[in-house]
Amino acid sequence: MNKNLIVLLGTLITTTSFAAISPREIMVKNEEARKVSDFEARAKLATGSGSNIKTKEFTLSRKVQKDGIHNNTLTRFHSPAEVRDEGILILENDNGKNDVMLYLPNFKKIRRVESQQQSGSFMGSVFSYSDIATPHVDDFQYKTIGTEKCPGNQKLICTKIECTPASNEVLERTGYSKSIVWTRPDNFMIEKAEYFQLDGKLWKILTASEIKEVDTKNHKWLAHSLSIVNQLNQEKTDLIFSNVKVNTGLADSIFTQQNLQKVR
Amino acid sequence: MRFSWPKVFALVFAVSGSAHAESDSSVTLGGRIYTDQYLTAYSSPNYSSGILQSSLSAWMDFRVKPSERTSFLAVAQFDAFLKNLSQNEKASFSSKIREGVFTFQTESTELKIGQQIIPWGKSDGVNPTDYFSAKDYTLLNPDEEVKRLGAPAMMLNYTPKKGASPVTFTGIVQAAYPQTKLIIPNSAVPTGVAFQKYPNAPAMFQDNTMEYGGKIAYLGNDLDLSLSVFRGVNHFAQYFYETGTNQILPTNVQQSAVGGDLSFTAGAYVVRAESAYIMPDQGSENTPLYGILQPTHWDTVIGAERSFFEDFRAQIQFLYRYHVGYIDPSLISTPSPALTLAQQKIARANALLLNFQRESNPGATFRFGYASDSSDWNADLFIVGYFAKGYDYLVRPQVGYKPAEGWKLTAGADLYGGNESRPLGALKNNSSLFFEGRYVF
Repeated sequence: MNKNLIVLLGTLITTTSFAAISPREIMVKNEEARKVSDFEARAKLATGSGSNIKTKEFTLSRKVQKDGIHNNTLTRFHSPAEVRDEGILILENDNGKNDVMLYLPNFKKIRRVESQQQSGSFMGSVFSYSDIATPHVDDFQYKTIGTEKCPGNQKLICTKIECTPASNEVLERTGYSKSIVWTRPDNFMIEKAEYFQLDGKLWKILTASEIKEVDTKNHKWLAHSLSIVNQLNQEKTDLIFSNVKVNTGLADSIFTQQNLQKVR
Repeated sequence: MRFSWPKVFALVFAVSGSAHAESDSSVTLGGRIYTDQYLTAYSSPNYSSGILQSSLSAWMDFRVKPSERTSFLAVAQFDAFLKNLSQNEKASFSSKIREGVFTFQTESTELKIGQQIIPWGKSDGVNPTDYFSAKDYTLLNPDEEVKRLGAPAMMLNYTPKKGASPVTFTGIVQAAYPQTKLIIPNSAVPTGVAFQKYPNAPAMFQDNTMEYGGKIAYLGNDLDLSLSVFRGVNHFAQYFYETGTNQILPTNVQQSAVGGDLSFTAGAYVVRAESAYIMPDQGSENTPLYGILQPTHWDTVIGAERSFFEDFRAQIQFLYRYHVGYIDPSLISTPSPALTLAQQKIARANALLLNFQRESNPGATFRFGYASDSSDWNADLFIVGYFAKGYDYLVRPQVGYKPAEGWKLTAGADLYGGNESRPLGALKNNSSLFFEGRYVF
């Protein structure tokens, strides 16, 4: 049996088994595949094109809450100087609404970000605050709309799943009427996503690459490079993670307003 | 040995330096350089040059983190003035340690010692519970936070459950109060008598200069709430007549206060409220300066803010101050008719400066802004006004542009208006057009 035939058979077997499960089950496996107890990474957020690229660097810390589903996320900016020490705390709730708090070192005060504003730009990037938080299975309803070669690995067949917000709270938070995601058959990670405006127009396209297994014991994965393009103005943001550490036992006290306003 | 803050800082540096070599330490340097040009908006005999302020300033930030639990931050500020309000248009230079604070922290506690700025209160611009910091209003700058002044203090925060509780207890001891410096309109300056415009700097660790405060704060997912108490000094100076020397002198009156604030999100709105009941020692009947100085008062701000079209924000706040036991200056009387007249004038000047010309003082602020991280432009319109029995106001429009990373150019205006016998209207001649160039590194 030649090598190509083995790959073809392998792909067929994977595709067949993948197709047998519902889109919701695929998304459950997706959430399981990316869920780690906690993770911390250095992140670089580069927005723009050509010579006009604005880069921001920050540390992102994330920890799953006691319910095992929702996360708390803290970002602390290091550069450029204009945003040094600014921090953003995102506390996910089970009612579909997230609490987002912004620490402004110039004022030494914390400002709450209302839910309507959470679909707005995250620090001038194409990502929104809600993109930086994590999506959860119960936030959406799912429909399989086909299969396609995976954008990042043409040998794999990805399942295309349409996700529509399950509640008005999620709709308001994300600002997306729907999204379509390309999920890989081998690790259930998302390689590509398209996000649509409330009027149905395509808004943003996300591609995920450098998908690496960060917890080999529990088979947990993380995309180390995310690229998102606003289709309305072609503005692009790359988010690249480095120095990724998982399951280090981050303290709950990191994800508090008290800690948000501690600049060290 | 005499106590000296520079010695404390030197000691902290020495301790930090020794720890530096053994641990995962870091040193960060940064700062900002900015120039401000304030020109009179209307021609005024008070400012014949047409320039209110022409200045070049620099901040140097130095931060060292000797260990995971300790850090030290110092911010030195240097200001060179070709002209400014407090030096009678003379060229001058000043430097100071804006902040110099050593921090020690564990999971549940945080201790900060040194020169620090402690701004309390959740409202925008008007903060009844901002007991510990002060502002230099004679230093003109588009950024109100630049005007803020700190003081040597010790602050301890304790958060139960190894720092994970939503409840935090805060205790503060300030070695000496910072002094707010107001622009004093000519209409408040007495004639024919010796007059000291600004008070002398307070000595540290004196019964009548130290300040104490505590706060219990609930910082939850959906609601922030705090209650606070304070015993200290009113950072705004008021004036009194000293009969022995025939002088009008400034004084910072001791006072006590209780207050609180809250904020929460309600759909598309962020709601904030802040209130304090402030009891000056000279604020009630049977005290020597009752009626001349600001009486006991209740100060409240309630407001809401929301965004529009992602990059636009609008905010409105209602202000209300009620003076308990308020008496009109014209009712002040003494055995001497001349002294009565003088005391009444001083009471009116104090009322003008501290905005207690009426028993009940309603007002409002309005802010409309455009800011986008993805755009090099931003704009802001801020209006504050008081509107019972006549009105007075400040309108501050400004536009900012970022030509390159770290750089920001700002142009705008401070326009005072309304009844000229009211606090903001009296500053009409200080209305200005301004420009600032700033580089942050």
